[in-house]
Amino acid sequence: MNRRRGILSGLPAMLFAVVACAGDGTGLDEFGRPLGTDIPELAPTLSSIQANIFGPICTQCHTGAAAPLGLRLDPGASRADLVGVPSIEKPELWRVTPGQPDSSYVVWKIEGHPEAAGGRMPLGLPPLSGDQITVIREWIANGAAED
Amino acid sequence: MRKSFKKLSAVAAGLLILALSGPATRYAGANEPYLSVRTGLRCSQCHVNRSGGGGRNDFGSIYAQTRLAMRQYAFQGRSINSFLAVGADFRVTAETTSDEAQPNSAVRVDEASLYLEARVVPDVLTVYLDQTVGPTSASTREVFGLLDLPAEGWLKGGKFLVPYGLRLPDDQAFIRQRTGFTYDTPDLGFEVGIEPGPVSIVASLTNGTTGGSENNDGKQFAGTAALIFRSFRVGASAAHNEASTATRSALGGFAGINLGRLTLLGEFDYISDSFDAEPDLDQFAAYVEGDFLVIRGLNVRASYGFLDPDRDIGENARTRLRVGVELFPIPFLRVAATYTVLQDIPQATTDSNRFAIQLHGFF
Repeated sequence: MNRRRGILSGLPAMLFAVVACAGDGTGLDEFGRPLGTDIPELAPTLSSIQANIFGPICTQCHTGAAAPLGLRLDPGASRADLVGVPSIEKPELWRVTPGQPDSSYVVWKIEGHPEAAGGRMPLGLPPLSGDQITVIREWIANGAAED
Repeated sequence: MRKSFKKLSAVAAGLLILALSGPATRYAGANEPYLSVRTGLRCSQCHVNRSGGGGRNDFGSIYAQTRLAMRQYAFQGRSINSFLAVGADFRVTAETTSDEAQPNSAVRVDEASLYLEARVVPDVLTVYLDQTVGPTSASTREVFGLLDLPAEGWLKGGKFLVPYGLRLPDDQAFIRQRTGFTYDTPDLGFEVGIEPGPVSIVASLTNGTTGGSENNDGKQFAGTAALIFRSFRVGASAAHNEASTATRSALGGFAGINLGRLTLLGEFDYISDSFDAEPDLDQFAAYVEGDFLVIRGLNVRASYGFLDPDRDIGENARTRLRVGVELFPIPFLRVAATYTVLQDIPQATTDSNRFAIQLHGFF
C-alpha cells in the first residue's frame, strides 16, 4: 500500500516534469528550421513547393523508407513518387497528372474531395491554405515540371 | 542546456514508467492498450488479429458486453454460424479547433469498418478481413490467413498492421505518427508470433511500402518482445526498413502497470532515417497515459506526448496533452469527450487546441 501511495504521489511531479517540454523556438523559423535557411517565396514551382509545403508539412509523415503508401515527399524523391504514379487509394487516378489538377489525386487529398479515400491531408494538421493549394494546382496545370 | 533537460525529462518519464513496472513482464498493443494493461490480458485474448486491433473475437465480444459497459442486456453473439463471425467499428466525431488562422468546426465519420472471420478449420486456420467501408471509398485494411501454431503461436500471411509498440487507436499520437506504424499503414508480408507463459514475441517481414506497391528488393523487419504479467508489463520494439534510396530504423520501449483503478502506460521511440541524397534525420517521441476507472463503464484519461522532430536542431520540441472522459453506457457503445492541446514552438502556425466528442459503436 505504501509503495502504491509513493507511486501516486510521484506521478504529478513526473507529469509536470515532462509537460513543460515544448521548445521555445529560439533561432528557428515557423516550421522549426534554423533561421537563415534559404527558403524561396511561395510560387508554382517544384522547388518552392518543396521548400514551403512538402518539406515542412508533408514530410512530417511522408518521408524516408516508411513513408505512408510509399509516397515520399522528400527533396529529390517527391516528383518521382507523384507524377504519373497511380495512387494506391484510387488506382484509376495518378497522384499527379501533368496539366490536369482536377484529375490529380494529390489535389483531391489536400482539398478533401468527397470521393477521396481516407482523411484530408495533411492528416491531423490544419488544412493547407488557399494560397498553398493554388500553387500546387498551378504547378500541376503548368505540367508539373522539375522546375 | 534546456534542450538536454527536455530530452532528459522525456527519457526520464519513459524510464520511470519502465521502473514502475518492476522487474518483469506479453505483447501489449491493443485497440485500447490501457484495457489490456488494466486486465492483464494479451491482445490475442480479445482480438482476431493476434497482435491486436480491429475485430474482436468471441472472448472480446463477451468482455465488452459483460465487463466494459455500465448496463448489461441480453447477450449478442457475433457468430453467424460455426464458420463465420462478423464485427464492426463505427466512429463519428464532432470537433472544434481554436486555430485562430483557420477556425474549424466539423462533424466527420472517422471510421466505418466491417470485420469478417472465416474459421476455415476451427482453432487451426482462420481467414480474416478488415474492410473499411467509409466514410469515402472502400478499402481493405487487413486481409490475412492465420494458422495457429503450438505454444500459443501463430503464423500470419497477407496484409496486416505491422507489430510495433502500443497499438493506440490515435494515429496522431507522436509515437504512432512518427514511427509510421498506424491504422492507415498496414503492410503486406508474413508475421510469426509465440506467447508461451508470460512471454510474447511477435516478428514480421513485410514489403516495407506501407501498403504501396513494391518497387525494390528491400524489406522491412519489425518485431516486439514483451513480458506480460497480471499487473504490469514491459517490452521493446524494433523495426528496420530498407528502401531504394532511404533506410529507416526505429527502436522503442513500452511498459504498463495497473494500480487498482489507475492504469499507467507509456512508450518511447528513437527513429532514424538515412537518405542517399540528404542529411540523416533522427527523431525522438515519447508517450505517457494514465487512465482512472471511476466506476464500471466510466474512464477518465490524461495523456502526454513529446516529440523532438530533429535531434540536430535545438528548441524545436512539440508536446501534445490530452485529457478526456469516456463512457460505456451500454454494450457496444463508447462516448468520449476529449480536449487536446498541441503545443509547437511559439512562431509555428500549427498550434491548435481541439475539443472533440466521439460516438464509437463497435461489435
